Amino acid sequence: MRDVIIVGAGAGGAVVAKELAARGLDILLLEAGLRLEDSETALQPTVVGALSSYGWKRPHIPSTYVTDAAPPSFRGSNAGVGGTTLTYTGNHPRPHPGVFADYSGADAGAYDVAHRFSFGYEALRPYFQWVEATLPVQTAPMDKKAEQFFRAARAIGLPRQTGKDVVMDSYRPQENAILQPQGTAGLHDVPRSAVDNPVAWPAARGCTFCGYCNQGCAEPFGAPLNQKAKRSVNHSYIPMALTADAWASASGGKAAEIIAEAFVTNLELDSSTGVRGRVRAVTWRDARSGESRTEEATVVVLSAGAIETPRLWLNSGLPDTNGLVGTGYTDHFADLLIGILDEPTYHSRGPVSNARADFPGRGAFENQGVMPEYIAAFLTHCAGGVTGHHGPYDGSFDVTDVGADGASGRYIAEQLTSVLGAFDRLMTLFIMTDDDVVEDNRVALSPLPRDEHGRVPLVDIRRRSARSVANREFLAERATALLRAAGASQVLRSNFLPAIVHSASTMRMATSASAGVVDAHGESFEVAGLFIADNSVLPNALGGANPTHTTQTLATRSAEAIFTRYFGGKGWVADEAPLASTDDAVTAALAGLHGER
Amino acid sequence: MNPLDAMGRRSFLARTGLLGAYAASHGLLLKACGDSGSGTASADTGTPADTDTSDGDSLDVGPPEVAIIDEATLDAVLDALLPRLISETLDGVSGTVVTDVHHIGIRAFVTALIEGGSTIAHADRHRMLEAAASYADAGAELTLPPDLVDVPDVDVIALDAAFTRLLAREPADSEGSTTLTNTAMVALILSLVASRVDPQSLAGPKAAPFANLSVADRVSVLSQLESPDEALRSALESGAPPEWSQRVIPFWRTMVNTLYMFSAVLGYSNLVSSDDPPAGWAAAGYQPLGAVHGWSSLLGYHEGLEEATDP
Repeated sequence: MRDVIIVGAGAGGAVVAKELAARGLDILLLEAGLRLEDSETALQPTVVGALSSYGWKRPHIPSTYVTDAAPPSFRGSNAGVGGTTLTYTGNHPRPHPGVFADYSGADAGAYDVAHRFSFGYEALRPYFQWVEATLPVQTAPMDKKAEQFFRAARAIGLPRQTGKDVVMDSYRPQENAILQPQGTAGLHDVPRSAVDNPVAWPAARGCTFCGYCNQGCAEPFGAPLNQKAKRSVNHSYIPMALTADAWASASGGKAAEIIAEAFVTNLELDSSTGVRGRVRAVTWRDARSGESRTEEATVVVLSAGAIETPRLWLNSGLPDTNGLVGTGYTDHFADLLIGILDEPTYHSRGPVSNARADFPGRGAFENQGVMPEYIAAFLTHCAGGVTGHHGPYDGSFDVTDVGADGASGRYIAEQLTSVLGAFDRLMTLFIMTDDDVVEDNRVALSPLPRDEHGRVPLVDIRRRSARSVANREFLAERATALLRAAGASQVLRSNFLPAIVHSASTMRMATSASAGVVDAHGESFEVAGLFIADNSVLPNALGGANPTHTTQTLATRSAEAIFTRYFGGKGWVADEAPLASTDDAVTAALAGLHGER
Repeated sequence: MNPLDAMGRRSFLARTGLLGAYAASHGLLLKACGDSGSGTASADTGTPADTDTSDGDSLDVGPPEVAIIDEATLDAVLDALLPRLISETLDGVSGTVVTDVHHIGIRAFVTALIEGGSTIAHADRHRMLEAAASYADAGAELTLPPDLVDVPDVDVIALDAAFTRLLAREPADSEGSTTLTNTAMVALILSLVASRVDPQSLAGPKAAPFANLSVADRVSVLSQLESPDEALRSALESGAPPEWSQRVIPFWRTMVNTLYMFSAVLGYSNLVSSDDPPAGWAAAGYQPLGAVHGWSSLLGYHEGLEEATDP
């Protein structure tokens, strides 16, 4: 009998594991994908390869399906210890205050007002600060692509925002979970084949500008796992969870246990507890042997993401009285604008994204410095047709003239070659729309045949609200203007298809069971002791802010609720100071952990 | 009555590319007669103008010297024909999207992606192919190229029987034999639509009709599957089991997008290429130093501010 079993070792689950392990609870963390401890050799310098390393191609770990069909489409999410943070860009903006209950600004009506957070922004501030200090989150350094972005942002009339809270239409450097460069980092061009590496740890600390955030971060080379530049949970919260007995001895910390390649297939309830069921046990399938195991727990936390969490809920036959489980899928209705400049941008070097612009009530966009295969994806994962052959034809994805060049549609053959031929002169902007929660857009169980883990999920995106469409067009126009101001002689619009990126809000937080699946602390309305801590609890699209930061903040708050509601403890965020995951105490504890093996 | 009779076995097998592959693979047949199941097929980059140099002994060795053979042998022949159709079709897609790259690697990876999920039940596969063939046949008298007309009726009947057996074969009882995989379904249905877009595609250097099309016509095939007109939509939906007929069009839209996107992504990736740097990276000028530990790209902090304020 465990105190807490957590399903999924990604952005949310790792946070709950670390926080509760530090309080001395007996934590079991189950992860469907692989655990790769040696990021320096395991990660391949290709994004598809990185995803493959973490379980994409392993036949016993099925992909998440964009439709109910077999082929996975473009995905930014993946299995593995670390989850999507392994390959995310590390951007950690706070959400726009306008999406919270206490917002009273002049533009209060401009947001998804039907799906606001049920509490105020200020209630979350201490939790934001706790996460920002733990990871830590820092202001991104500047490189050529960021400098060009900032200059162009000013040219189109945007002021700079200097604070962490979003208060106006503005631009700023990203707040990133990437350690700022120290020592020799960022000052040397160093091929991996070099005999001497001047940006190895400890001469270099923090970001070495290698440009591989999306492939996982292996720099600075030689650094302990918790000193790697990008703060995926595999580099931050997981090492802390596994060594809580050492660095959190003052609070009675107990090391968490983690089992990888453990795909949870069923949750069991104790039906003897009255009207509101009580969670009792978790069953998982060992992906290597195919055997199933079951363990009981006082509390279960679902952190499998906005697709797999509702899938597990539905496959387990858990109660869904109001039919809200899986509904309201949001994904920032993403789009991409690619500018071809006359001068180099060297966008594929440095942090993948280190500059952004926010438009409260509309959304945001950020720069994306990526490798060629990403550009190829951006120009082919499009809303139908092929430029020069057949234009876009799906009325639900029609776009207006925002000043970009030519028709939207895929670029293939010579047209694709032409854009990639200008690779070092590209500036790419990723649009994150403040996308309305629409219940028709949802995760359901597919009618197609099941796989070894039960019925497969169907992600069904049927329509966008008029506000979402208008917001996306507004942002695309602003992004085009910025690219022109940066000197782009040509601007291409992807009209990007839905992708598994920033997937959220399918198990929403609300004040009552009639409006959502979990309460304001992440506990199910219908099943006692069952919490959710992943993107699925987000009640809205956060105004267009990248979701990981808010999810980790809410997971911290949920951890406190678990401790106080079920284990007789009290909260800690208000009274204590967090320990940074880079602290020497964690480094030493991690060294001790490896020394024992 | 076998539903294939209504549309004509020869026509159906021609439109799927199977008959063309059969006619072009007499060498395979001969080889299979002597060594059941050992035949292989391969393909090149899939453009119509390509000279096929990689098929070894499988082509142009004259008519078979033996007439119809036993079931196992014919099954083995079919097992060799399908990979050929699949590879030519997938290479035809990647050859449309990207040029001068490693198509075989793309094909292998795309195949793994497409096969990575649910498998369609055999009865459903049957209906889906029949429906697509009915659509391809509707309103158009198909004039077969001479080499397909020349295939003896007895061979057509045997090939049809072998294909019917293949359709009924489930992965669980296949014991190493070829089954009609998701990739095969993609290749066959692309072939059926291709034969409607241009019936001349049944004659050409490739067995797979899709691979014989011009680039514009290949795009047309993919566009039709992605955004079908009423006739094609009706055919595709009617062929699917009722419980997921509403998902058939989204299925094809996702499938077509997967074919386009992963052809492009892999064409510009190092994942499927043994070249260093891979052709796509070289064309883009990416990583001129090879993989790096870092770049000297630090320009300090915007306006000197290293920290954001928090009231």
